[in-house]
Amino acid sequence: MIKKTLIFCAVFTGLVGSLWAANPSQPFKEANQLYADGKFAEAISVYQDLVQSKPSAEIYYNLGNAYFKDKQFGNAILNYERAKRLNPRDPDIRSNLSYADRLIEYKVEDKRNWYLHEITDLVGYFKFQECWLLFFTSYSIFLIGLLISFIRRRPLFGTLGATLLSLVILSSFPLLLKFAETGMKDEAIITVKQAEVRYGPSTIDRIAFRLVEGLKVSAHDHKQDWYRIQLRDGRSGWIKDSEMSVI
Amino acid sequence: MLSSSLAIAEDVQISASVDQDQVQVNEEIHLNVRIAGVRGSIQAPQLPSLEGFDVFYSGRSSRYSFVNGHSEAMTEFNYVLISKTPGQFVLLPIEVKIGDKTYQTNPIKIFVEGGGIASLPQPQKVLQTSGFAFPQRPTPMQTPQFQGSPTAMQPSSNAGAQLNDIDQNIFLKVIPNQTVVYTNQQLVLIYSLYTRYDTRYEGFVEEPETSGFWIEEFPMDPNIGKDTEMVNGKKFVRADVKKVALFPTAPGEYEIKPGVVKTSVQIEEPNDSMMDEFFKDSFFNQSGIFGRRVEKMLAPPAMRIQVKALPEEGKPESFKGAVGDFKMATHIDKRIVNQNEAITLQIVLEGEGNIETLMAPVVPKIKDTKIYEADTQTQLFKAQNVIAGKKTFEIVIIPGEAGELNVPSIEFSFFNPKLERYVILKSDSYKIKVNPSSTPAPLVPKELMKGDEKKSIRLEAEDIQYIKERSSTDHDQAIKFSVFGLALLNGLLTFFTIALAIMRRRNEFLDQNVSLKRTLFAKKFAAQGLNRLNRLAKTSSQDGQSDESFFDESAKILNQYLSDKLNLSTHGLTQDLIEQRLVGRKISSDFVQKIQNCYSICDQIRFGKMGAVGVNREEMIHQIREIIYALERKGHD
Repeated sequence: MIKKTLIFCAVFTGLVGSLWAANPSQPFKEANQLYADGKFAEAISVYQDLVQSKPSAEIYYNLGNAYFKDKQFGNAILNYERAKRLNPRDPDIRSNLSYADRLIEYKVEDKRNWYLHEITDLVGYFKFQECWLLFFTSYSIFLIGLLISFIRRRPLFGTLGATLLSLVILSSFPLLLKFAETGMKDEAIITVKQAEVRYGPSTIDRIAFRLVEGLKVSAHDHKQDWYRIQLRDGRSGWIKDSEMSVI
Repeated sequence: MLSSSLAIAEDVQISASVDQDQVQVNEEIHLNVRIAGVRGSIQAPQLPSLEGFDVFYSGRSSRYSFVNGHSEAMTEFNYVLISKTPGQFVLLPIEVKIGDKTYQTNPIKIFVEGGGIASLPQPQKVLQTSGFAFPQRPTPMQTPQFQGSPTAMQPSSNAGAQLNDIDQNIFLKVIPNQTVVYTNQQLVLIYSLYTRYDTRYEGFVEEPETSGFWIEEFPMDPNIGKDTEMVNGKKFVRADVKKVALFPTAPGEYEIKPGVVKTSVQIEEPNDSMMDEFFKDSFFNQSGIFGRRVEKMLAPPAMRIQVKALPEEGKPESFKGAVGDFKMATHIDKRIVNQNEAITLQIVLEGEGNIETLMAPVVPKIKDTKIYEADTQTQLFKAQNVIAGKKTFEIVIIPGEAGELNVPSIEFSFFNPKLERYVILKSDSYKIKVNPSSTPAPLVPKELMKGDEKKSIRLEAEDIQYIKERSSTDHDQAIKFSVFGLALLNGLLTFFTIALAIMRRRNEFLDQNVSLKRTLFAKKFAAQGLNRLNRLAKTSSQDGQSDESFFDESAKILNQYLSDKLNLSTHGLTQDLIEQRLVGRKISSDFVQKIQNCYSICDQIRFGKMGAVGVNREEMIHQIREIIYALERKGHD
């Protein structure tokens, strides 16, 4: 009975995982043609509809390109960032994002500790789903080992059990790091030419500093139409939510 | 302030290199000491003792560049080494003092082969620490003592630390070209060695103290000329061993301590008057046939320099501290460009003065145009008795709008101490035609990007990568499904594992508690028995044999159930024992009677061979089921 269930689960997972084919949809092709014809505003509109219905790294990337060509650098960076989250190791996405970042006239110095830089870079190369996949796979192996030992009435934790448990613990680290990096806060991009960051969530509060289009911020709190944001150099303030978009 | 303009990067890099490490005797080796990461005035490196070489300072050059948003500064000191003796030599680490820290280069091995260009005189053992060659065989002459001149003394065991024994036949004179100067005006100190001995100059044992001045070593000719000069009626040989250009950084009165110079002289033995004249020829002087060599430390007295402030009157707005006499030339590399394409404007300032600390003239702001200071190169050279040089600034201009770009005239001003007034220089203005282009402006123009020494493929322009024409949405979906499937699998596996663990624990517990296990499983076994009875009941009721086996089985099931439930052995189970136990469990006597009735019916048919009179099989099954349910209910109550 147990063996049959295990076999069923394995086959089910394999079948589900192998469902894959690549056929670009017609609107996607149309949007690409508009882009190729230099009709960037129209291409943006079609890509926007596509990301609403079926978001993917490619559509976000193409949308970012269309925004870039339309000289909307903030929206371009926003969509490159979204594309990067879905496909973090794609060289084109990284290249365009890097290039667009370099066009921003101001830079924010990253004053975090060096290991946070390293962790951010490392974790940035993996998707959330991949971290989950790694964790679930190792956990499945551990559980199967455990079940076999139950069925065979063997001791639960021998050398193999300890190894498998270590594997589960190790594989949970990327997931935890990913949660720590992105799960705790929202990241956002400034999408207006110049955004005023104030000391409080109202226009009565004094302006602390100004940000330019395309800069990346962390959004920590939301109050009415305002977001409390923080820069990587530690400075923080309140910004109107219409002046930025959460990635 | 010139001295405060020293900018030290975190990663100061000092290196020394030679153009060739295997030479013939009397062949030149070019030594280059490179200091990277420091901008501004740097003290000349301290060369170690170079036994077997003549050393000549051949000038310095500095370069400042702006690369990828970071500034880079590099200064080079160049020397010419002339090998004197064959052998293998190690050039010990060269020390460079920057700020409070002293940096060292790596040692360099040099192999000098003998018998090459060997027609020159036999080289003498010369130790040099400053890089200035001294004329090797000055002719001693009878000349009077120079009035008020510095004195020469015998060294103590610690060379240069203590001085004694005044010797009037050798002294060092340090002459400033002027004692009253303006801030940043060049002041030249000439170290002249006066001697009546056969003298060997061995360098400085105590460096000059010139606090408040930025120092520039004077490039010296390899063959420093020697001259004869009458001092107080005595004839001396004079040689200029060192020249230093000093630039005062702030007004005030300063004291300069010229340092201590080490020499060694050939002392002639007395009583050889006949031979004296003959052997006073320079050819024999170094041989030491009739004399002995002693060290002499020469310490000229300190001198005072008055530094005047630059006049405020007539000071132009563009003045940035340049003092001397300069010329300016500008050059632009393109007259027609595309929008967002870089143009390089070269500004060359040339003349006498504080070349090293000259700052780039300000290029006026131009609307919609980005201006970057890209590269700076400095060349210093000797011009008569002062240090002159050329400083080249490269300015990158990136027009942001199409049309005609007007690069306005650039103004550079300096104070001329000879004329005692400020001079303003103005460059030509340039008109540039800018063609429209869709190329976005780069943050760091490629003109500011420094290439490696090996040429790499040049990036003509930078832009985003093209759009993706294939969508792999389904691939993402596959990962999502895989994650979902695995999550489901994990959930099931976790459930099974927990259930299995609980079952295993329960079984282990029941194995240790047999009576509990029998009680718990009594109903289950009874239910299985009732199923068997049902099957037996369906066999032919006409057959007496089948009645017997049915009721026999009924009694067995009842026995099994009651023995399990009451935790009694099946063997030796009697109706009295059953009654006793049931009464003990407060079961009603009617119910006990019902059980006994069942038993008696079964016994009558089994042993009396009477056949099933008045009791059918279904009724028996029903009665047994009622007994089981009743006892189970009782058990739960």
